[in-house]
Amino acid sequence: MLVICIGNTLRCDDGFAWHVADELSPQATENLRVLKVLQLTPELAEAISEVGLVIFVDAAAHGEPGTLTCESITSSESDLRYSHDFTPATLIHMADTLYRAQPKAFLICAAGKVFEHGESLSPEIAGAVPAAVAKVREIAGRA
Amino acid sequence: MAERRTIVIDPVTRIEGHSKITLHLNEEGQVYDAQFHVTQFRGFEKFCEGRPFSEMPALMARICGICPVSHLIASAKACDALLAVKIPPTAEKLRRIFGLAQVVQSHALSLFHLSSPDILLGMDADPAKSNIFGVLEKNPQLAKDGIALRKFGQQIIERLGGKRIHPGWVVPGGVSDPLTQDDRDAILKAIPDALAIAERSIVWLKGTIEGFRQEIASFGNFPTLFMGIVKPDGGLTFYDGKIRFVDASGTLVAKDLDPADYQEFLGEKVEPWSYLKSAYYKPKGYSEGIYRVGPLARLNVADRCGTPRADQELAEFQELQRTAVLSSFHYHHARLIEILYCVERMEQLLNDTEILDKHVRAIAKANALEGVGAAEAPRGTLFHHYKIDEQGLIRWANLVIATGQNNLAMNKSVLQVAKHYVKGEKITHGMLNRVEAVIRAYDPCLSCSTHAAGRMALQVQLLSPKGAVLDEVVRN
Repeated sequence: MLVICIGNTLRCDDGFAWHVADELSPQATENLRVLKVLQLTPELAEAISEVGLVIFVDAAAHGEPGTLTCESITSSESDLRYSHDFTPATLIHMADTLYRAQPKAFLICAAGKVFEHGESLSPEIAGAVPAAVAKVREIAGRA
Repeated sequence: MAERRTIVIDPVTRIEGHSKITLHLNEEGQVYDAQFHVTQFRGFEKFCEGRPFSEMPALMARICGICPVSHLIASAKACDALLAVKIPPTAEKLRRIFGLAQVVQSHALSLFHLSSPDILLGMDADPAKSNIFGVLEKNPQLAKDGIALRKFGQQIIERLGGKRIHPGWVVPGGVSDPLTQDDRDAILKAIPDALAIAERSIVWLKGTIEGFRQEIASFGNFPTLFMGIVKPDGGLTFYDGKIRFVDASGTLVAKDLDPADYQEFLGEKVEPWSYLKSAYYKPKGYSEGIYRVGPLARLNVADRCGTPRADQELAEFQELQRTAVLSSFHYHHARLIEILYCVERMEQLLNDTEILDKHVRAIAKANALEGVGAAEAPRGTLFHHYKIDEQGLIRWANLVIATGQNNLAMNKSVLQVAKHYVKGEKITHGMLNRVEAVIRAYDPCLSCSTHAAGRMALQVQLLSPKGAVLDEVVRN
């Protein structure tokens, strides 16, 4: 299982996923790998191809602050022309096309409130960190 | 009476950063002028004033997410000059490996992820397919190779620096930690696969070149100077040496220039239509002093690479033209030869008997009030120049970035391509893609050179002098 935590800790609530990663990392094993990334890049497709389950964790710019959502991700060949803008769905598509791997994939998102320069989380999204960690464990437990 | 018109390509896609291109058409619909505008502004030189100089490498690495290592190295070298120390030999070798790893991953990004759609699918390919997914479909092995080379470079950076992006391992006086035997062995183990990828990628690229005769003839194919740092024996280097200029005939114009004296031979001019400054070779003035830097320039100024396979490829590369190799289309080819060199050179350095030495940092306080550091970044020569006060606080900083040094050539290249391909009132994808593709050949890093992020859609408008939209293409 692979957990890919996406965010920028210098942009307040955008660092949400890295806080989730910090909670999960002590439990990392051979079967649970936790990655902190600033953005999704093509080479992640290879790492994704090596697991049966991948969970993306990210902050959302829209929605009621602190609200947690979880959705299943399916492969998508969107009209992507920019190297800086990979999405979970396009990475799943790459893993399938290049490595014939079709892991189960989920995206856990918490809506943020503050995305200005700064290193602290707003109280709303900070409160969603334990719930996100629990959601990751729940999905892992079902797998 | 026919009207003069302007075509604006905003933003330019598949490059690092945000820019736009304006093409000016005359009454007959012929391009008579072109401008490559860099529309983002960052101002690192200004906001680092007042910071302790020891913070500079870590601060400067934040300029760019693609080539932070180059900024780390140039900045640390400027700080070494402030300390007035000679860093331990092992630290220098480790910095070299660090820099070479970054060149591999950055060149791989440029070639495999940004430019390979143009080369593999053709300049006239369906815009919906002209991207990394089109590459996946047409040549999955090429896409895999690009991913593998990026991973190879990034894993070395991570092993040495602790993380892939913005590592802080390079410090004034050397590096913060020595290389472990486990990390050395792990990197060495990955070398054969990386070499094999570099080899087959060169074979692939050389096999495609025949299909791009028109592009080779029109993509920045004009006389300029070329500049790069070379070793004392004239060999290719990315870390240290003297500056050399050659002209379009391949003749030496200047050699053995000390990078610390860059202000004596390099000038920078600000144009009102861009945040990107235009550098020129001072003895020839603006804009006769147009010169190019980066992979093409480095291979034009170097006498040799210094590694067996890269030297064989360099010899073949030099046969492309009896003079210096002029077409900017060949930046792609040069990039692959450099990847080959970097992998070979890393293997040499990792097998050096001193590479695991624990003494990797010279400790000192500031012993000079001014320091210059220079290195070859993936896109060309990079200068960091700092002045500090008695307390060691930065009072003035100047960065001369590769992309700025290619600015005159990029503008001239856009004009050349546009004159060749853009005709009439209707905008076609192939026409515009070639205008963008010539910019991609230089692999500009605008985040670096303006010292942004964001979704880059493409909007092209054909405007009348009064601003009326005559034609428009939007891709999201």
